[in-house]
Amino acid sequence: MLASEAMVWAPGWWASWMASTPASRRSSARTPRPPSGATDDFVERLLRRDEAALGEFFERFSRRVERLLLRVLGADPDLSDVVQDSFEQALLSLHRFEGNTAQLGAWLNRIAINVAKNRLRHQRVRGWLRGAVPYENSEVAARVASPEVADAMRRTYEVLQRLPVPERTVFALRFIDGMQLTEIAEVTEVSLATVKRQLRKARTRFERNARRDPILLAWFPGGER
Amino acid sequence: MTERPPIAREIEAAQDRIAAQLDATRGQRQARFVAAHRKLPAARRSPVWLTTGLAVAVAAAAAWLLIPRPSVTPLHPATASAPAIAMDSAIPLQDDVAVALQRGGSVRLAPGSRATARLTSAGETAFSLRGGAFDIEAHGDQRQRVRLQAGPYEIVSRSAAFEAHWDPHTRVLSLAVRQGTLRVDSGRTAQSQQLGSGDAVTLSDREGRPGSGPTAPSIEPELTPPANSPVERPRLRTPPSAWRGLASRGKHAEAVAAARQEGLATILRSAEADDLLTLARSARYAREGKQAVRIFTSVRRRFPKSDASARAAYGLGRVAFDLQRDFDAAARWFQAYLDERPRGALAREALGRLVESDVRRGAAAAAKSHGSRYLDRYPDGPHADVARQAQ
Repeated sequence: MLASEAMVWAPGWWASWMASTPASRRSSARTPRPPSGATDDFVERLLRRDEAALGEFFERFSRRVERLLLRVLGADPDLSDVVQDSFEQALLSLHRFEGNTAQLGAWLNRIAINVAKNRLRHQRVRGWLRGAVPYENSEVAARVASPEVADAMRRTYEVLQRLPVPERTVFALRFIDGMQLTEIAEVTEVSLATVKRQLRKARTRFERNARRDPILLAWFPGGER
Repeated sequence: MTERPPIAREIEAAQDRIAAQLDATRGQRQARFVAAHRKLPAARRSPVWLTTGLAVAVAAAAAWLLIPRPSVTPLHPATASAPAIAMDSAIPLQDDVAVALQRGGSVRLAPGSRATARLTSAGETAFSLRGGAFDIEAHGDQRQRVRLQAGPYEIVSRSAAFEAHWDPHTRVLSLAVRQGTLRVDSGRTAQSQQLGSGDAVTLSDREGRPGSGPTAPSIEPELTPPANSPVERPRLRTPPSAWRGLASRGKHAEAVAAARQEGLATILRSAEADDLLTLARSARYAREGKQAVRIFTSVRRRFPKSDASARAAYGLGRVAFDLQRDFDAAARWFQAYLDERPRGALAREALGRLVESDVRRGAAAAAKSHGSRYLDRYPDGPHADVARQAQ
């Protein structure tokens, strides 16, 4: 694909993507936090470190947390440890949680996203101190996807690695997970306007970097695939 | 209409498959999480009458022990159900029982375990472990000699602290030494092995297994524990190694330092293949090439012909390429991976890096040949440009 062609497709898929979010949802200046409900029995049991409640907590929410972390971090070989860290962080700050069981999942998602962002920041600092750390997720990806997809996946996350962490996060949640903008605002704890701004910047940076990679470019609408 | 880039859908699907694979370990991870955070029942304060009664009982027991008896030398019963151990007369021990040793320290039997104990005329305390887990904490006096028989194995220790687990069905003996040294003898081959603090081994008596051939019993550690062992593993384990946690959290330099402090030689002898690969990767990220080579080499030596061994070959290639800039060695290792796993998960990466190594070491003919193979198989692969340039 030629570089000039790349200039053509990008606004198209971007515009269609932005159009998918209803205008009414975009209008709120800041995503309201869920109303604080009375702490219920399940949360009380978690606070008491009740064994059955702890098991249920992990069983009920771990799948969603795993998927969220996968979107943001990519196929991280240490994913299960990051999931464990997220749940541990949640338990450590549970005494500050004021909601009920219905709000627990969203609250846990916010924590998981923060854990993922911290991990990305640490990786970045290590990269600065010790030279670029190669993207090592190809082994995990190669087990679940065709070589072409695993390669494209690696290239996508290599490009994402060059984005600032907040931009990378909103980009991954929007395009890979397919989240609505309001959901992203909720999970990243920023306003809807900030999400839009970050997403715009992320898109520009991603496109700029992706244009240098014809194989990656071929995977976008208007590309060869 | 929402139009996501095709790659986004592909990535999402691949990641969902990765998440589905995690289901296999969910129960285990859930149990780990619960075990780490559940609130243990608070220790009940003993009533005054019980405390007083116990004090009287202890005083009476102490007075009773101080009275010299010519033929029977009892050991302190550490639990109410523990019998006194007599000279040259085997006393059965069963379940969760603990006895104190003559010269300081104690022996504890895990629930469901069976053993016998006796004092020998040589002043040793001799135990015969019929099955289950056994934990000994002998200290203070170098004359404190303990002999433990488990199947064909005999363990002799002086003032050591260790765990032993004997499974009579699989005839596997696991040992983990916390402190001091001990000697393990195999009754069948007269081989013996010294173990020191921090060592953990699994020994297998293949000859005694039902249906096994005439193979000699092994005193060499059998490093892959038997799957689905019907007998529970020892309850009393040494604390998990710090380096694993550090490595999993991405603290690579700290992980290598922790492993070194714990004893790299011991880890190389006893850790699982995956753990070793993780540690080797940490060493590579921490730019500790020599340690990385040592760990990867150990994986290849201990787990020959396994997938881990092939991955270690690839890792050695990466170390040679990235850290040592030894492109001849790198090419050999990438070729080794391809020979061992021609269709392996890392085959494309290995072939691409082989081409790159050939180019860097100036082997034009090899680069052309490998590059051609690469382009045939992976025309859009990440090393396709390098492969084309080599033509």
